[in-house]
Amino acid sequence: SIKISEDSRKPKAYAENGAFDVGVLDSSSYRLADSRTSSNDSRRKTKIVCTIGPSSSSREMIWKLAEAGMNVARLNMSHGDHASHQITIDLVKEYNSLFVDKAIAIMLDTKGPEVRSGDVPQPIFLEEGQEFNFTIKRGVSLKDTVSVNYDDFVNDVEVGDILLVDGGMMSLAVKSKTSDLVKCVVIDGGELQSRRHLNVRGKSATLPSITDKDWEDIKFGVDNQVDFYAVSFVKDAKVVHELKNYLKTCSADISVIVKIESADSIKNLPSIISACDGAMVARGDLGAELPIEEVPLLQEEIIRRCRSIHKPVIVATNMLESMINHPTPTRAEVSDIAIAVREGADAIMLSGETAHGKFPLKAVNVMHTVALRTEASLPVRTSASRTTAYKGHMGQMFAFHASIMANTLSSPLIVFTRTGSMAVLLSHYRPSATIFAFTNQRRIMQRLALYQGVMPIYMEFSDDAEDTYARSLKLLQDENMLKEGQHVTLVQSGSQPIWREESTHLIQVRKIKIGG
Amino acid sequence: ATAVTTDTSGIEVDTVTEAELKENGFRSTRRTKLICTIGPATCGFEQLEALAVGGMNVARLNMCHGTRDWHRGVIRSVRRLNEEKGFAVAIMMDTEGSEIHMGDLGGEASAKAEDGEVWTFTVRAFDSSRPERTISVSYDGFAEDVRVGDELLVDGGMVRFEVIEKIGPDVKCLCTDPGLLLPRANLTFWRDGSLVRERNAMLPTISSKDWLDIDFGIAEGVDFIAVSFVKSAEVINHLKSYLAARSRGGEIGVIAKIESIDSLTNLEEIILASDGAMVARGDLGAQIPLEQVPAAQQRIVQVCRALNKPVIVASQLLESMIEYPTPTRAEVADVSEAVRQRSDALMLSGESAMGQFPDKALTVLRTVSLRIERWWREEKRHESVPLQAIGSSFSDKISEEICNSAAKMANNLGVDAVFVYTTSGHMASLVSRCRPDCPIFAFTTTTSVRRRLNLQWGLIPFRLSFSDDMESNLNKTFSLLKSRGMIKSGDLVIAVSDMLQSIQVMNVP
Repeated sequence: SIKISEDSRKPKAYAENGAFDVGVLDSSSYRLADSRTSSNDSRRKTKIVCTIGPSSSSREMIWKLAEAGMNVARLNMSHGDHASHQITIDLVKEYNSLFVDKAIAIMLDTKGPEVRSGDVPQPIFLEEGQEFNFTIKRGVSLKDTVSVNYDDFVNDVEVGDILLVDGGMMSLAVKSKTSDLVKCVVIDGGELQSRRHLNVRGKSATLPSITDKDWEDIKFGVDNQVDFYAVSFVKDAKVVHELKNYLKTCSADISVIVKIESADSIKNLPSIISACDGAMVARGDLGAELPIEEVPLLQEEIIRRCRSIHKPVIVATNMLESMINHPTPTRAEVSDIAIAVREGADAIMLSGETAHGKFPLKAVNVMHTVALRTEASLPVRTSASRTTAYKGHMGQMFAFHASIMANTLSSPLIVFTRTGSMAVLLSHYRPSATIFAFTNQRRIMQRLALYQGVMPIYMEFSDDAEDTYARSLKLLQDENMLKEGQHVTLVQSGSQPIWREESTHLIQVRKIKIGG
Repeated sequence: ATAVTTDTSGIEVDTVTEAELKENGFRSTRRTKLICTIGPATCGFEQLEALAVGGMNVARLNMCHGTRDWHRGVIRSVRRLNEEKGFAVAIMMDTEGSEIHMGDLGGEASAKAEDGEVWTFTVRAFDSSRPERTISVSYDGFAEDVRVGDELLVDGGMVRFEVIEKIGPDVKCLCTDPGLLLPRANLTFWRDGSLVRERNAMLPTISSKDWLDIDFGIAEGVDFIAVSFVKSAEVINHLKSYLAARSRGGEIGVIAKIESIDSLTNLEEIILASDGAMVARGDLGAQIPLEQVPAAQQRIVQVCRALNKPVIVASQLLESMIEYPTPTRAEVADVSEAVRQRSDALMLSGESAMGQFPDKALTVLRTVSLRIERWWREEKRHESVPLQAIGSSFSDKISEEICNSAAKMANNLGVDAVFVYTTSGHMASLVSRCRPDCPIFAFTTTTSVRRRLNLQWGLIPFRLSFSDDMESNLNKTFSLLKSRGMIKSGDLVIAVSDMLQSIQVMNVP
């Protein structure tokens, strides 16, 4: 395994200088009390989503990925069939059933209305300047013409449009079109293989976001009680409502994560983000439909919007692309992970790196170490100035002040939750130490796996609050997550009281004694 | 659209800037400078011209590769480009340094090491072709320094080997992490999880080959020399006095490459002694844990700003574009971050030297820079980093205060440009250091200073003969720029100069 995280290899220069203040984007809203950082807490807060595929679907690999740091297993419905995904789901559930303090959530990612080129018996070599055509007739594969799987393709594209193959690996300019043929000239050549992904720059296909196949996959997800859907090519809030209504009729409690990846979704960003349960910055198609230089700015905006309304956000695509084939990332990739962590994403995602790459475990390891290192260098907020919490919302106010207290004391937070809502609120304020979220609901435990800084733990609650606290502290001590003499901040707030009076909210600080 | 601009009584500015100013006005000109490493993919005159048109401000020559004749050819082509087409492309010569690296693989582009293979690393030189699974090593003490059981990392972990046997000058190693070996890749060896720093740590920073290259650079009149694996300020001071004694007339700027643990430990003193620094992330990531490189980059950029030295972010910005016409999203994010940090310059290495899409890679750097710069103007994110005082003499302190105030006024008044008249270039860099919201027109009397200023953030360098009389300088500049359509009546300008310590705010008549 990769060894770059070992302390012994950290140069002395860093030990002496301490971590640097790297809160470029956040520093305006944080006041630094001193140069203290959260480096005493060695648990990673940014979550890792791993796409499961041929390189990672075995029982052994799922166990290893989980041990390496996977928090969410993503099933990409563009590949594989229900039988193969079923096996993965069963393995993840088996893993989860073995632990009370480890939960891998399952995310089902729909294929969506992808526009793809047709099958070709052999790769077609496209050379710059040559003519090449796409037809909506099925099954065509000639030297200069291939099929497209989408009938309105001819109507959607216009002369002058730029077609991108695989997000820009090859590109063509549309020169003319007939009723069933789009004639192009190659700008960037390469090898055109079967079923390549096509985009029109600046445009979204006029296709429904959820296709018939997607509905079948969604039903499969309901049957298997997955934790999250990631919905591809969401264009507006309507489709989110449609899916949520459907889930209501099935009494399925599954979170809907929207993938922001089309030009249309950017126009409707505020309404989409308010309708969904979370978002994914799907940078591949986003950078193909829109100019690539817009992507970093959009990423920042999407993260900011989601965080402002307490919804989890995932940064995805190309994070460690070079590690599909190489054991070490490029410097740009390391920097990219650090940026996503600094921007405050809840999770960062691996796609091909874990699905079909040669070094899936190393990729997870790199994400883990870079995230951990970057988190340790973020400023710690210990001042309550510029508060965003109002007394109208007791839960928010308590979450905010509990975070500030925990930061001042460098103490982890402990919360007991049946719905997860208080843990989500605490995560929103990004305290510098871990939020131990005890819940008696396995579903909630799984869902919380996606949230930044939250470590969900399963526990039966007893009628006696003090007994429950004692057991939770003992569990944390037994697992070496708390040490004697350390402070913990317990928060009791939120809309549904567990042991307290409805009108009472509490923050309690305890010092850990031997044996709890 | 390339006009020849060699009229000595007039004003010299490169044609790309001129066109940009005419078409888009002042505010949208690019502030972040771009450096392209020149190699087989870009050494022809037309290719160099395409890069200059695409926004290259500095051409870098990597002395690890190519013969001096080849480099001479490139230098002369760039100079011809500047003379004939009015560009001010500076030339940076990058020395090889004496850290341990592999040989050049006998002309092959790469070699593949597979898991479980045994390779021989040797200090022997090969007369003819390279024997199979054999790599030559640049450092003579290699075979003595390594021990059986050591781990050998190529390029910070792209490929890993374990030392299994030593036979005289040959070291047998077992490949534990397969991958591609590239010519002249960096080699480090690790024992019990620590970087081994024995006699190899005593190697001189500037090798005898480097000294010959430096003499060559002086003779050919390069603008910058980048020194690899700088460990302390001493070597920079040594080189600077060598250059002062030898280079005729024109000064050569010394850029320290920050790529080792020592250079991070002695960062402030090294940067203080140098004329600029380069965050050489490739080798840096081979010497410190990779995950610490982003924080190191940030610190180096900050220290350079504080000490008023230009800083270059280099290595693997758009690595995937060596092979593909489009960057990965991670690469775009990385470039945008370097621009947000307001580093002076971004650098392409293999992407422009031997990649398949040098012009496209340069376009990506340009468009991402422009987009981020536009974003912070739209968001009104002025830089308001408190800058420490750096001037030592009273006169320097005045210049510094003038530049700080001029930049602040420029932001608050929303002026179209800051004009700075400077003979040494120092005053221009003091304005650049403040990263004002508007472009900085830097007027200087010599072509060499003009080229050197082309490395610095936000500076649009012009060559102009000017006098001690600011009134006449301004009138002359206004009429010259107006006649070429680069400014118009009513534009608001702030002017400072290093001859007259004053700030003037005026509308172009």
